[in-house]
Amino acid sequence: MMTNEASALRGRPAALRGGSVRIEGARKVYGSVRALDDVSLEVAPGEFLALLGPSGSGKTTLLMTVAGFEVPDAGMITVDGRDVTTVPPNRRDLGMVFQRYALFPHMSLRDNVGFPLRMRGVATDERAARADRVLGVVGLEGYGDRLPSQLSGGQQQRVALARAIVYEPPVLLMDEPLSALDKNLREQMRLEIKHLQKRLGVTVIFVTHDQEEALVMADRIAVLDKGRLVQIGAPRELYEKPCNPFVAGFLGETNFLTGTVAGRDAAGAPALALQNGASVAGSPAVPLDEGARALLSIRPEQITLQAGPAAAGALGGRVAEVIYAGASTIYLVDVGTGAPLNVRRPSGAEETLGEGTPVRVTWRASDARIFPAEA
Amino acid sequence: MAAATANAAANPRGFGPRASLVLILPVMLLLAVFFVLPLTGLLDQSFRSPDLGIANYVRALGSDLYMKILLRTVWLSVIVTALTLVLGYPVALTMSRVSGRMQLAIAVCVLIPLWTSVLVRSYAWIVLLQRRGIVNEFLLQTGLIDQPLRLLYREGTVIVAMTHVLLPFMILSIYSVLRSIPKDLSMAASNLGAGGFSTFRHVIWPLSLPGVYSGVLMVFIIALGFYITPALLGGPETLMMSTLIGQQTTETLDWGLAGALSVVLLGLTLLLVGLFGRALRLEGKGI
Repeated sequence: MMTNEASALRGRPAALRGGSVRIEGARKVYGSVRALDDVSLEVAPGEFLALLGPSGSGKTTLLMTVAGFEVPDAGMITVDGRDVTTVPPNRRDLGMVFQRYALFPHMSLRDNVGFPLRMRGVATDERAARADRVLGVVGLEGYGDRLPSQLSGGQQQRVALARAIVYEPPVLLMDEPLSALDKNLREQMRLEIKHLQKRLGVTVIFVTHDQEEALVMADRIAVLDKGRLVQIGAPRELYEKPCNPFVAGFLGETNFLTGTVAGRDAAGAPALALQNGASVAGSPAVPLDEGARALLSIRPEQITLQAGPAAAGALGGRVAEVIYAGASTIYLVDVGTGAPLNVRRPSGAEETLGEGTPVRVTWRASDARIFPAEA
Repeated sequence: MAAATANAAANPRGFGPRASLVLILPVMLLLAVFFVLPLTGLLDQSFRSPDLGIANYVRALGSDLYMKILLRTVWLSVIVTALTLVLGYPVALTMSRVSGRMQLAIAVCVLIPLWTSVLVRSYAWIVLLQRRGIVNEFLLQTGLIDQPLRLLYREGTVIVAMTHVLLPFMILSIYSVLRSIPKDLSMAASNLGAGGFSTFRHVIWPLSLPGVYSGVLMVFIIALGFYITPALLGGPETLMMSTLIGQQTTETLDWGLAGALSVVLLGLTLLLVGLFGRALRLEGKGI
């Protein structure tokens, strides 16, 4: 601990060493709610991990156990191999950016950013110099004398970031840091934070409920639901090969079709017989028996529409609504299975299909995932 | 006017000037009739009773006795204010940190005395402290003393009782500010390496100062003009300004002197409040 601190203080801001984090079998129960249910995961040095899930999924609780504000009922948290499970937050040396920034309103930006250095006994002059330098790193050069209330939300966000990295912690924890910003700024800050993280080499654990944010920013995404770790992997892996309907539905948009497993189609892919008599192909997430009830997930942008009536046994429908959304156009196609299919096509690149047009609906078997239907 | 009204209608959170006037008129009337009018009368008396001139002020300000009482009033108020701050801050801090039943329990302990009449609380002190009161009886029975102690009508008694009566004001004004400090500021301080005491010293205490100032100001002003408790529990050597003024109006019927003393007390109060406010503004700029 002492040696860690000492070396961190002497380092330069441009050469941060990322730390590793390991969570083993973390459990936390509040009353009758399982906030964390046997969660285990590892974060590699310099990695950007997003904890993604709906509210109540346990993602914030997990972050709080790493930060030290919650002690798990069972399990272990290690940072760089050191067991910190019961170490108080002020002795963990982890950086953290809070949802509402938590800047000290009575301190100037220089004092805010210098605060962690002050707590580490850094002399006033050096503190001010380092605070000013890091304010420069986040693009707020010359703002040292201002108060937080004199800044915009995005600028406060940068100060919070500066304060969290000034003492060069090996791991940076972020609790939905962009949720208080408006959309344009949020999208800009996504990339800024990601670039800064790569430049500093710091390990980041980032909590978000915004799947797009997780996809854009993270090296890996851990999806949580009801206190359990559902799936962890690279964004592309999770988006293209979700392990269950929850992940498929939570990460990006998708269409669900229910049916029964009915042998294989002409190309050898497993097929699903739908209620409307059509048969569609997909790749099962787990081996499925013939006749089993199953759920097929297909992304809106992976569906191909062609004007014309469908062949017997193939999926066909009628365009119910066309919604122009700028870069893409959304077609709602009534295929006679209840909710219409949501199909997204690039605007202008293909022929437009008017409302009421009969269409053939196809996709590649490898793009659709088939899951066992839950009871 | 019409434009202002339309403007007010467009902004549901603000009232127009006419509506504002209608809403504050009852209070303004009440204050005018029952506060400004009598005060003007007293001021008037101080210059005219019994003769026209400043004789009453010469008496009030020229008398060693009255000046001593004035100084004592200020001094007791300072002590009572300091005591309520020292005793009240930890209670307010605890109240802001706990939740559920514990918080309810503390709140009840703070509020029940506040809801009880000052008269009742002062008499309660008399029951406790009188010559054959509960405290003396207990000390006699246990053999710690042979003779009953004289506990009433002493300066210390007045200080303790006034502190007791005024404590809730201090606690509540500090608590209201402490409660509004976002919890994530303490968490951030802790995450950045501050222990419990550092967090308090660098974050909680400076942010709670507005509550401390308003509590101090409120308790000090009430203490300066406090009547019931010093009148009931204090003796001749603990005479305070309001008791003195009371005596002039009910016993000696010297309304002119009462008026002059009142004006002096009011003037002193306003002066101290002004100085306090100026000191705060200067400090506010220093931050």
